[in-house]
Amino acid sequence: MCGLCGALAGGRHWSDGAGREGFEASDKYRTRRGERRRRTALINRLLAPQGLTIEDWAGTSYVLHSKRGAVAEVLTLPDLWLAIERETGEAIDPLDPGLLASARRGLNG
Amino acid sequence: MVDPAPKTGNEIAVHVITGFLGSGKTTLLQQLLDSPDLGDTAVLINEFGEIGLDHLLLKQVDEDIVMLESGCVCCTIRGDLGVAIRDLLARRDSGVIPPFRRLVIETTGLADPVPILYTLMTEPGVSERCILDSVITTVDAVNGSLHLARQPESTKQAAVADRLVITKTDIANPSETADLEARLTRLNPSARILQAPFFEFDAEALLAGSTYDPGAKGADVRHWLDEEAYRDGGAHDHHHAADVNRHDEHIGSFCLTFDEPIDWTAFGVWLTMLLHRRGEDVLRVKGLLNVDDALAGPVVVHGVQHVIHPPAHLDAWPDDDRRSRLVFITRDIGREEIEASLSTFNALADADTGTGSPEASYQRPRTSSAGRSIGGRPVRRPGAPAWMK
Repeated sequence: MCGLCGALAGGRHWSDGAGREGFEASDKYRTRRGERRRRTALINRLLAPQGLTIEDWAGTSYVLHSKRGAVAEVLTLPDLWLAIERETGEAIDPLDPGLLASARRGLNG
Repeated sequence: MVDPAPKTGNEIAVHVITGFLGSGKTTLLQQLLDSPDLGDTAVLINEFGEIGLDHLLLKQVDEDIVMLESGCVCCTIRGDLGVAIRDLLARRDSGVIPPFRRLVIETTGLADPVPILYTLMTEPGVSERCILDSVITTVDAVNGSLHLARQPESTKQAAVADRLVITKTDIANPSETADLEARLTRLNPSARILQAPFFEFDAEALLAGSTYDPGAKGADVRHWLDEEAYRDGGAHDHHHAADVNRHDEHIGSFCLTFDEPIDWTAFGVWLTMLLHRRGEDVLRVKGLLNVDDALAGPVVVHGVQHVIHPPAHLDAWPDDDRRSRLVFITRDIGREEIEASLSTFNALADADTGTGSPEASYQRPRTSSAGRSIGGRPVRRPGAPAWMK
């Protein structure tokens, strides 16, 4: 835990990077902060049709917001998918044609 | 799943041996333990009695651990596997047993190997120090086809394997063995198939050739990158994929190939979501990914159902081919579904512009100083109080 702000340290999830040296040696996106910013933007585009957004909190966790306010703070992506399912009451499935179609509509719009 | 520490290259390579009841797992273990090549290895087995170690015994360390003449440490699993591995590591650290570099774990015949892999990849005190090198599945040449047809556990054990050992080929009809080999190749084209006649056994051939060999020169990687095994359709669009091989109407395998570097952000988001919702049906995923042309080597990703091994960045590619390749063994999920989904996520990542530099995404904090408004009401510079005028 951070002694100053009380943030719980986020554990490293496999999706955070393919080994430290691999990602620090690379281009501008591969810093941990940059990677999280880019990830947050991607997920927000995906969640926009459902009225949900996330924000990165202190580089350690994600805060999920619905239109009625912040609903959950999670550490990793699997926790995030679970929190979204709790909020919407529906399964979030990347193979769901409806989800993919709305994501593509968002891109074209 | 959390990876608490990056891999250092000093991890203990773990081989999990699984196989249906009577498929020759114990015989394979006996042959392994007989081998002088196993000097730097610890073996976790279910029962000493089953294996018959008396003729190999050097000394008994305690009730659960014996040392063999080859230098191999043999230990029984009593109860929890994670506890057994941590105990073994503690004894290794304290010098009670030699510093083994390899760990072989026997599973029970009816076991689903996935919980064991989950322990290896996630359990604190284990996942930081061990790296899953291979899942070795024994299949009996005589009864293997029957087990595959009737026992879902047997099919799963074969589907998650990195190496398949066809046993008892000396007592099976050669055509039976050939049929079984063809069936296993259809079920799991990514696995290397070895035949083990009863008295011809090569421990090094079985345990060598790791995915994590320096430079990825390992036989496993070469094998699962062999696109011919997936009957490549040969389409040449942005990413092209091989035909689905059907083991039966439920389990299929396919290989996706990508000419452009994989977007790691999109890939991570996509795969975590896929495994969250459909992990039960993703029996195996293996990938050698080019995440950035600027990097010397590829990233190895491999997972079993919900569990992904912490990806490792290799120092070099196995050959001159720099394309990303992803192999899936799935239950009731088609290649087209996976392709369409991943390409949509890639497009979402491509739509991201201007977030690369901190400056580009930096927004000045909103202030409520004079000249601005709060809730539609103008903020004015405070005037001097009347008493000062």
